[in-house]
Amino acid sequence: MTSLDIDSAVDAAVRDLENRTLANIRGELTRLVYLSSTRDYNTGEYQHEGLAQRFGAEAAQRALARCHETAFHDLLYTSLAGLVGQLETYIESTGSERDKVLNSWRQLQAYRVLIPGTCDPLSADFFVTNVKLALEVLGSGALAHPGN
Amino acid sequence: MINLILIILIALSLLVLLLLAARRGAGESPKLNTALPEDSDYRVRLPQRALLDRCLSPEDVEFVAVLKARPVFRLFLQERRRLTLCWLRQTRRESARLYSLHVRSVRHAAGLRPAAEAKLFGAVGLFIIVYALMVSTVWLYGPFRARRFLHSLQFLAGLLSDLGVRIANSISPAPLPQPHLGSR
Repeated sequence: MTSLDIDSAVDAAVRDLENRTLANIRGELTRLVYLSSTRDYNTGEYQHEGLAQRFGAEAAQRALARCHETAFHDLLYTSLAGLVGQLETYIESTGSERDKVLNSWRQLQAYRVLIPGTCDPLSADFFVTNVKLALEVLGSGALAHPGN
Repeated sequence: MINLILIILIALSLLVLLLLAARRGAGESPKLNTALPEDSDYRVRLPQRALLDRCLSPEDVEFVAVLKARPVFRLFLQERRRLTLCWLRQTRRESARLYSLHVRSVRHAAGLRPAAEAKLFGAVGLFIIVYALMVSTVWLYGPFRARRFLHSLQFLAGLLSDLGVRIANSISPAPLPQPHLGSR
Protein backbone atom coordinates (compact mmCIF):
# COMPACT_ATOMS: atom_id res chain seq x y z
CA MET A 1 0.00 0.00 0.00
CA THR A 2 1.44 3.39 -0.99
CA SER A 3 1.49 6.30 1.46
CA LEU A 4 -1.30 7.99 -0.54
CA ASP A 5 -3.43 4.86 -0.28
CA ILE A 6 -2.85 4.56 3.46
CA ASP A 7 -3.68 8.24 3.96
CA SER A 8 -7.00 7.91 2.17
CA ALA A 9 -7.71 4.67 4.06
CA VAL A 10 -7.07 6.53 7.34
CA ASP A 11 -9.42 9.36 6.27
CA ALA A 12 -12.12 6.85 5.38
CA ALA A 13 -11.60 4.99 8.67
CA VAL A 14 -11.89 8.27 10.62
CA ARG A 15 -15.18 9.10 8.84
CA ASP A 16 -16.48 5.61 9.49
CA LEU A 17 -15.53 5.75 13.16
CA GLU A 18 -17.13 9.17 13.58
CA ASN A 19 -20.36 8.31 11.79
CA ARG A 20 -20.94 4.79 13.04
CA THR A 21 -19.52 4.77 16.54
CA LEU A 22 -18.70 8.18 17.97
CA ALA A 23 -21.94 9.79 16.76
CA ASN A 24 -23.85 7.39 19.01
CA ILE A 25 -21.87 8.23 22.13
CA ARG A 26 -23.26 11.14 24.16
CA GLY A 27 -20.74 13.65 25.47
CA GLU A 28 -17.17 14.49 24.47
CA LEU A 29 -15.72 13.04 27.67
CA THR A 30 -17.60 9.78 27.14
CA ARG A 31 -16.20 9.62 23.60
CA LEU A 32 -12.71 10.28 24.94
CA VAL A 33 -13.11 7.48 27.50
CA TYR A 34 -14.24 5.15 24.70
CA LEU A 35 -11.35 6.05 22.40
CA SER A 36 -8.71 5.68 25.10
CA SER A 37 -10.20 2.30 26.05
CA THR A 38 -9.34 1.02 22.54
CA ARG A 39 -5.65 1.54 23.38
CA ASP A 40 -3.58 -1.34 24.72
CA TYR A 41 -1.94 -0.02 27.91
CA ASN A 42 1.11 -2.25 27.44
CA THR A 43 1.98 -1.36 23.88
CA GLY A 44 0.21 1.98 23.48
CA GLU A 45 -1.35 0.68 20.25
CA TYR A 46 -5.01 1.09 19.38
CA GLN A 47 -7.09 -1.94 18.55
CA HIS A 48 -10.47 -2.11 16.83
CA GLU A 49 -11.27 -5.34 15.04
CA GLY A 50 -14.15 -4.09 12.90
CA LEU A 51 -12.21 -1.06 11.71
CA ALA A 52 -9.06 -3.13 11.06
CA GLN A 53 -11.06 -5.62 8.96
CA ARG A 54 -12.56 -2.90 6.80
CA PHE A 55 -9.56 -0.57 6.38
CA GLY A 56 -6.49 -2.57 7.43
CA ALA A 57 -4.67 -2.67 10.78
CA GLU A 58 -2.41 0.34 10.16
CA ALA A 59 -5.21 2.61 8.92
CA ALA A 60 -7.40 1.60 11.87
CA GLN A 61 -4.58 2.28 14.32
CA ARG A 62 -3.89 5.72 12.85
CA ALA A 63 -7.58 6.61 12.61
CA LEU A 64 -8.14 5.77 16.28
CA ALA A 65 -5.06 7.73 17.30
CA ARG A 66 -6.21 10.75 15.29
CA CYS A 67 -9.75 10.64 16.74
CA HIS A 68 -8.30 10.25 20.23
CA GLU A 69 -6.07 13.30 19.80
CA THR A 70 -8.93 15.37 18.37
CA ALA A 71 -11.31 14.44 21.19
CA PHE A 72 -8.63 15.20 23.77
CA HIS A 73 -7.76 18.52 22.15
CA ASP A 74 -11.43 19.58 22.09
CA LEU A 75 -11.84 18.77 25.76
CA LEU A 76 -8.55 20.43 26.70
CA TYR A 77 -9.85 23.74 25.39
CA THR A 78 -13.33 23.37 26.88
CA SER A 79 -14.20 25.77 29.70
CA LEU A 80 -14.22 24.47 33.26
CA ALA A 81 -18.01 24.77 33.37
CA GLY A 82 -18.19 22.77 30.15
CA LEU A 83 -15.92 20.09 31.56
CA VAL A 84 -18.06 19.80 34.70
CA GLY A 85 -21.09 19.30 32.45
CA GLN A 86 -19.23 16.66 30.44
CA LEU A 87 -18.25 14.86 33.61
CA GLU A 88 -21.88 14.81 34.75
CA THR A 89 -22.98 13.39 31.39
CA TYR A 90 -20.29 10.73 31.62
CA ILE A 91 -21.25 9.72 35.16
CA GLU A 92 -24.89 9.44 34.06
CA SER A 93 -23.84 7.26 31.11
CA THR A 94 -22.08 4.76 33.39
CA GLY A 95 -25.33 4.04 35.24
CA SER A 96 -23.33 3.76 38.47
CA GLU A 97 -23.85 5.65 41.69
CA ARG A 98 -22.60 9.22 41.27
CA ASP A 99 -20.62 9.37 44.55
CA LYS A 100 -19.00 6.02 43.88
CA VAL A 101 -17.77 7.15 40.46
CA LEU A 102 -16.55 10.47 41.87
CA ASN A 103 -14.62 8.78 44.69
CA SER A 104 -13.15 6.19 42.40
CA TRP A 105 -11.98 8.81 39.88
CA ARG A 106 -10.47 10.86 42.67
CA GLN A 107 -8.67 7.94 44.28
CA LEU A 108 -7.58 5.92 41.26
CA GLN A 109 -7.06 8.95 38.98
CA ALA A 110 -8.39 6.91 36.09
CA TYR A 111 -8.56 10.09 33.99
CA ARG A 112 -4.81 9.92 33.48
CA VAL A 113 -5.25 7.13 30.92
CA LEU A 114 -7.34 9.48 28.78
CA ILE A 115 -4.25 11.41 27.67
CA PRO A 116 -2.92 10.51 24.19
CA GLY A 117 0.69 9.39 23.91
CA THR A 118 1.64 12.32 21.67
CA CYS A 119 0.47 14.94 24.18
CA ASP A 120 3.07 17.36 25.57
CA PRO A 121 3.58 17.33 29.37
CA LEU A 122 2.17 20.83 29.94
CA SER A 123 -1.11 20.08 28.12
CA ALA A 124 -1.35 16.78 30.03
CA ASP A 125 -0.81 18.62 33.31
CA PHE A 126 -3.45 21.21 32.41
CA PHE A 127 -5.97 18.50 31.51
CA VAL A 128 -5.35 16.54 34.73
CA THR A 129 -5.72 19.73 36.80
CA ASN A 130 -8.99 20.63 35.11
CA VAL A 131 -10.45 17.16 35.66
CA LYS A 132 -9.38 17.30 39.33
CA LEU A 133 -11.10 20.69 39.68
CA ALA A 134 -14.24 19.41 37.93
CA LEU A 135 -14.31 16.45 40.34
CA GLU A 136 -13.95 18.83 43.29
CA VAL A 137 -16.78 21.02 41.97
CA LEU A 138 -19.11 18.03 41.62
CA GLY A 139 -17.97 16.51 44.92
CA SER A 140 -18.48 19.74 46.86
CA GLY A 141 -22.14 19.89 45.88
CA ALA A 142 -21.70 23.61 45.20
CA LEU A 143 -23.05 23.24 41.69
CA ALA A 144 -26.52 22.35 42.99
CA HIS A 145 -26.72 25.66 44.89
CA PRO A 146 -24.40 28.15 43.16
CA GLY A 147 -23.99 31.37 45.10
CA ASN A 148 -25.45 30.01 48.35
CA MET B 1 3.24 54.19 49.58
CA ILE B 2 2.12 50.60 48.94
CA ASN B 3 2.60 51.18 45.21
CA LEU B 4 6.15 52.40 45.80
CA ILE B 5 6.95 49.32 47.88
CA LEU B 6 5.51 47.09 45.16
CA ILE B 7 7.53 48.82 42.46
CA ILE B 8 10.70 48.44 44.54
CA LEU B 9 9.88 44.76 45.14
CA ILE B 10 9.33 44.13 41.43
CA ALA B 11 12.53 45.98 40.53
CA LEU B 12 14.49 43.96 43.10
CA SER B 13 13.02 40.67 41.87
CA LEU B 14 13.89 41.63 38.30
CA LEU B 15 17.42 42.40 39.34
CA VAL B 16 17.78 39.09 41.19
CA LEU B 17 16.37 37.18 38.22
CA LEU B 18 18.69 38.95 35.80
CA LEU B 19 21.67 38.21 38.05
CA LEU B 20 20.63 34.56 38.29
CA ALA B 21 20.24 34.36 34.50
CA ALA B 22 23.65 35.97 33.99
CA ARG B 23 25.29 33.64 36.52
CA ARG B 24 23.70 30.60 34.95
CA GLY B 25 24.82 31.75 31.50
CA ALA B 26 28.38 32.22 32.74
CA GLY B 27 28.36 28.83 34.45
CA GLU B 28 27.13 27.04 31.37
CA SER B 29 29.42 28.59 28.78
CA PRO B 30 32.42 26.28 29.29
CA LYS B 31 30.17 23.25 28.84
CA LEU B 32 28.77 24.42 25.47
CA ASN B 33 28.59 21.69 22.91
CA THR B 34 30.80 22.46 19.93
CA ALA B 35 29.34 19.79 17.65
CA LEU B 36 27.11 20.86 14.76
CA PRO B 37 23.41 20.77 15.70
CA GLU B 38 21.24 18.06 14.23
CA ASP B 39 18.09 18.78 12.20
CA SER B 40 15.84 17.50 15.00
CA ASP B 41 17.37 20.12 17.33
CA TYR B 42 15.69 22.80 15.21
CA ARG B 43 12.23 21.51 16.07
CA VAL B 44 10.57 24.30 18.05
CA ARG B 45 8.83 23.16 21.22
CA LEU B 46 7.46 26.43 22.55
CA PRO B 47 4.31 25.88 24.65
CA GLN B 48 1.05 26.92 23.04
CA ARG B 49 -0.10 30.48 23.70
CA ALA B 50 -3.71 29.21 23.50
CA LEU B 51 -3.04 26.99 26.51
CA LEU B 52 -2.11 29.98 28.67
CA ASP B 53 -5.14 31.91 27.41
CA ARG B 54 -7.33 28.98 28.44
CA CYS B 55 -5.54 28.76 31.77
CA LEU B 56 -6.15 32.47 32.47
CA SER B 57 -9.68 32.49 31.10
CA PRO B 58 -11.94 34.92 33.04
CA GLU B 59 -14.86 32.59 32.23
CA ASP B 60 -13.38 29.90 34.49
CA VAL B 61 -12.71 32.40 37.31
CA GLU B 62 -16.32 33.59 37.20
CA PHE B 63 -17.61 30.02 37.16
CA VAL B 64 -15.60 29.01 40.24
CA ALA B 65 -16.32 32.31 42.05
CA VAL B 66 -20.09 31.91 41.62
CA LEU B 67 -19.94 28.49 43.29
CA LYS B 68 -18.80 30.12 46.55
CA ALA B 69 -16.99 26.95 47.57
CA ARG B 70 -13.87 28.26 49.29
CA PRO B 71 -11.68 25.10 49.06
CA VAL B 72 -12.45 24.72 45.35
CA PHE B 73 -11.64 28.38 44.68
CA ARG B 74 -8.38 28.09 46.64
CA LEU B 75 -7.39 24.96 44.72
CA PHE B 76 -8.30 26.68 41.46
CA LEU B 77 -6.10 29.72 42.16
CA GLN B 78 -3.23 27.59 43.41
CA GLU B 79 -3.30 25.33 40.33
CA ARG B 80 -3.69 28.21 37.87
CA ARG B 81 -0.68 29.96 39.42
CA ARG B 82 1.38 26.76 39.21
CA LEU B 83 0.39 26.13 35.58
CA THR B 84 1.08 29.74 34.58
CA LEU B 85 4.57 29.51 36.10
CA CYS B 86 5.13 26.14 34.37
CA TRP B 87 4.16 27.71 31.03
CA LEU B 88 6.54 30.62 31.63
CA ARG B 89 9.42 28.38 32.68
CA GLN B 90 8.95 26.13 29.67
CA THR B 91 8.90 29.13 27.32
CA ARG B 92 12.10 30.45 28.92
CA ARG B 93 13.81 27.04 28.75
CA GLU B 94 12.90 26.54 25.09
CA SER B 95 13.99 30.04 24.11
CA ALA B 96 17.30 29.58 25.94
CA ARG B 97 17.78 26.25 24.14
CA LEU B 98 17.05 27.90 20.78
CA TYR B 99 19.45 30.72 21.46
CA SER B 100 22.27 28.41 22.52
CA LEU B 101 21.53 26.33 19.41
CA HIS B 102 21.92 29.50 17.37
CA VAL B 103 25.25 30.27 19.05
CA ARG B 104 26.42 26.74 18.21
CA SER B 105 25.33 27.14 14.57
CA VAL B 106 26.87 30.57 14.17
CA ARG B 107 30.27 29.25 15.25
CA HIS B 108 30.40 27.32 11.98
CA ALA B 109 28.85 30.01 9.78
CA ALA B 110 31.01 31.69 7.15
CA GLY B 111 29.00 34.88 6.58
CA LEU B 112 28.03 36.31 9.95
CA ARG B 113 25.64 39.29 9.78
CA PRO B 114 26.29 41.60 12.76
CA ALA B 115 23.04 43.56 12.27
CA ALA B 116 20.91 40.40 12.39
CA GLU B 117 22.90 39.14 15.39
CA ALA B 118 22.36 42.42 17.25
CA LYS B 119 18.62 42.27 16.48
CA LEU B 120 18.41 38.73 17.79
CA PHE B 121 20.39 39.64 20.88
CA GLY B 122 17.97 42.52 21.48
CA ALA B 123 15.01 40.15 21.18
CA VAL B 124 16.61 37.76 23.68
CA GLY B 125 17.25 40.62 26.12
CA LEU B 126 13.68 41.86 25.82
CA PHE B 127 12.46 38.29 26.25
CA ILE B 128 14.37 37.94 29.55
CA ILE B 129 12.92 41.23 30.83
CA VAL B 130 9.33 40.33 29.89
CA TYR B 131 9.80 36.86 31.38
CA ALA B 132 11.12 38.25 34.66
CA LEU B 133 8.31 40.81 34.79
CA MET B 134 5.68 38.12 34.26
CA VAL B 135 7.15 35.72 36.82
CA SER B 136 7.36 38.50 39.41
CA THR B 137 3.78 39.67 38.84
CA VAL B 138 2.37 36.14 38.94
CA TRP B 139 4.27 35.52 42.19
CA LEU B 140 3.19 38.79 43.74
CA TYR B 141 -0.42 39.03 42.63
CA GLY B 142 -1.36 35.50 41.58
CA PRO B 143 -2.76 35.07 38.09
CA PHE B 144 -6.27 36.42 38.72
CA ARG B 145 -6.10 39.24 41.27
CA ALA B 146 -7.80 41.72 39.01
CA ARG B 147 -9.29 41.74 35.54
CA ARG B 148 -7.09 44.68 34.51
CA PHE B 149 -4.05 42.77 35.71
CA LEU B 150 -5.24 39.71 33.78
CA HIS B 151 -5.36 41.75 30.58
CA SER B 152 -1.82 43.03 31.14
CA LEU B 153 -0.67 39.48 31.83
CA GLN B 154 -2.28 38.28 28.61
CA PHE B 155 -0.65 41.16 26.73
CA LEU B 156 2.74 40.21 28.21
CA ALA B 157 2.10 36.55 27.34
CA GLY B 158 1.46 37.61 23.75
CA LEU B 159 4.66 39.62 23.73
CA LEU B 160 6.63 36.72 25.21
CA SER B 161 5.18 34.27 22.71
CA ASP B 162 5.93 36.57 19.78
CA LEU B 163 9.49 37.06 21.00
CA GLY B 164 9.91 33.28 21.35
CA VAL B 165 8.69 32.81 17.77
CA ARG B 166 10.94 35.66 16.58
CA ILE B 167 13.95 33.97 18.20
CA ALA B 168 12.91 30.66 16.65
CA ASN B 169 12.48 32.23 13.20
CA SER B 170 15.84 33.97 13.41
CA ILE B 171 17.73 30.77 13.97
CA SER B 172 15.75 28.17 12.04
CA PRO B 173 17.36 26.98 8.80
CA ALA B 174 14.06 25.68 7.34
CA PRO B 175 10.31 26.25 7.77
CA LEU B 176 9.43 25.34 11.33
CA PRO B 177 7.44 22.18 11.93
CA GLN B 178 4.23 22.74 13.86
CA PRO B 179 3.74 21.02 17.22
CA HIS B 180 1.33 18.07 17.02
CA LEU B 181 -1.11 18.99 19.76
CA GLY B 182 -2.66 22.24 20.68
CA SER B 183 -1.80 23.91 17.42
CA ARG B 184 -4.94 22.92 15.58
